[in-house]
Amino acid sequence: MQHTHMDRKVKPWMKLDNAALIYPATMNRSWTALFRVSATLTEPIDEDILEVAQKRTLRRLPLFSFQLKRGLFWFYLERSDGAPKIQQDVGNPCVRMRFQDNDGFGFRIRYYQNRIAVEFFHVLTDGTGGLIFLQTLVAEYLRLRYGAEIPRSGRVLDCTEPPRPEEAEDSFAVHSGTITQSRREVKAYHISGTDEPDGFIHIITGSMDADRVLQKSREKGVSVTEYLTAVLILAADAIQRRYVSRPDRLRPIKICVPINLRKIFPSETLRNFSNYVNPGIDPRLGVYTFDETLNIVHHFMAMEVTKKLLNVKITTNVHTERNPMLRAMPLFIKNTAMRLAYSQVGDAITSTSLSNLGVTELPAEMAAHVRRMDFILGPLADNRVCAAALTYNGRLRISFTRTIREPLLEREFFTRLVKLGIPVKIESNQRN
Amino acid sequence: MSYCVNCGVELQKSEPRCPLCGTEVINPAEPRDETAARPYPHHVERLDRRIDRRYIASFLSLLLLIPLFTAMFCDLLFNGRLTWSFYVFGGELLFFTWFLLPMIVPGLGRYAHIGLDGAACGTLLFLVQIMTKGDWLLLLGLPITALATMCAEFFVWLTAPYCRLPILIRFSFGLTAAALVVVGIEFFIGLYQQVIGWPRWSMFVLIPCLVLASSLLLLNRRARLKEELRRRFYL
Repeated sequence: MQHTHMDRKVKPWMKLDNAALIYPATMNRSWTALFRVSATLTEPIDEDILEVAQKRTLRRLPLFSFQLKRGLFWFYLERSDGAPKIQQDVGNPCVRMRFQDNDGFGFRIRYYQNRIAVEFFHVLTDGTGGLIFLQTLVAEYLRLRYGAEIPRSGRVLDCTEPPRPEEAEDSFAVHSGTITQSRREVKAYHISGTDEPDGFIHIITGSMDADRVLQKSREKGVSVTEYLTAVLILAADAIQRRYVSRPDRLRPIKICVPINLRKIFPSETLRNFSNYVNPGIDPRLGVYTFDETLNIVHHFMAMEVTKKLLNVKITTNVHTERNPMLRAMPLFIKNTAMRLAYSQVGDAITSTSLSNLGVTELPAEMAAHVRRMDFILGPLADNRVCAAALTYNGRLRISFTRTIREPLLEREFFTRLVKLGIPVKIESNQRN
Repeated sequence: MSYCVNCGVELQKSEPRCPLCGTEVINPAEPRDETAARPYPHHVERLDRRIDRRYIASFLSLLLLIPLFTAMFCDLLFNGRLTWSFYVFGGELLFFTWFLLPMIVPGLGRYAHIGLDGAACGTLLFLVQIMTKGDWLLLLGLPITALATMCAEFFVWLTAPYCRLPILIRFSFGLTAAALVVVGIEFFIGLYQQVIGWPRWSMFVLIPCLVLASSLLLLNRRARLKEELRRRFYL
């Protein structure tokens, strides 16, 4: 294919960003680090139009058409022309991605009835980047399908414009400093249960009135994410206390809460640019009330989510990547070393994850066609349950992803919300 | 709209039962709509099964029969009876017991596996003795194999998660056990050569190991020193 002038501006290959390095090293035959954002429209999806919209979106966002390749020392991303085939959706979203079945691409678009869903391999982007891709794709689809005149902005990109270099920036490298700290933390409690023999991924989505949750959070003087995190901590705590009888054997309950670094550091990248904080409690010290937990989470977030401390975390990761010893290791040894490190400081130090993409607002011309939006995390490497939240059109939807049979955490979490005075509506992908 | 009587949550029309507790939805005022749109399609993408180690190990075990039968056939063809093919049999038995058996019978337990590993070693040595017409098996080969097996069993116990001994004591016991094995080897060599006396060369291993083991035992009693070591050797 002949590259246009606009295409030639895009690099033929690029290094993985700092956060992406761990994902290819830890992926295996049955697991890939994925997440999914979806938009449900008012009318059924037309596959042919969606395919054209995908091509136009990829021309504006060529970053997403890069494919993962294996070098001698590192994985890297190689530019590819073309686009993956549009697929019918399946009953187990975020099931591992087989690159050979996906034409080598690190994302796939799946549709079902009125819904367009995009599943991304975390190597390409994070939730914010993924949401911008989805919004641009849907805007392009609506333009082609209904002739909708949608004003373009930083969240809904104009596909007639060329890609901007700052969108492909590795912002971790740009914002790393000099001071580092240990990543080591105490290992946390993990929810366990019965494996699904066929690896089925359970999704349970709870939908609630966003204003109601906001009002409840305001009453307690905390943010919505902090409020939900505190409920999740207490839900996991209740489960642990049910199964562990001796108080000295209780493990800390910690929730991994991703932080969008674009809100703290100036960056317009569409690649990964997020970090994590792990608020939690130590149940050995006694039973925590809801107010105590809220207080801990609120102040922990206030202390940890600061430009200075996040800079130290970024620097620690970037320094590891720049370590001459690590760089000189052949990839297969590096992968083993990274897997070993991940087993110590990855999922092991948290009980579950709660990723809140916040409130999504669309231009009125677009919102008229988009009924709902969802965000789902793919299964994690070690933790068997995780949660993701997104607010759109006045509804906050929290989706739990689970790889064990028992819906322990979801039940404990949603029933607690009901007891707190927040009505919840549940839907799932359960098999009849 | 239907609510779960157990969980108090509202349920989407497509849910046949509460996804949180499994309670069936029975609402006489609003019977379940079978045609209600499901949030996800019925079709499920099949996940590759994990590598079936048991199957692969069983298959490799069968493959091992090919070189064994070939060796036996050649042996019979050239010598008229089974001679050197016993080595092939012993070697393959050892390989099977050490590497394939743990995958074929994963529930057997570590102690049983190590015991079987020792037995396979003993069998190989027995075959070697028959072939070489030696007399070293009972006095030298089998006792040393048994000693090494017991030591390995002890190490497994020391490293097991249920072993409640402090780490320094475990290291101390491990060192002592390793030193005693070396002394045992010298003793059995002496027994075989009919020169039984005080241990000589094994003392070069025993004494440093015992000194180190006693130091570790002493260290274990000094809480502050132990804490200091933990801090200095923190990984």
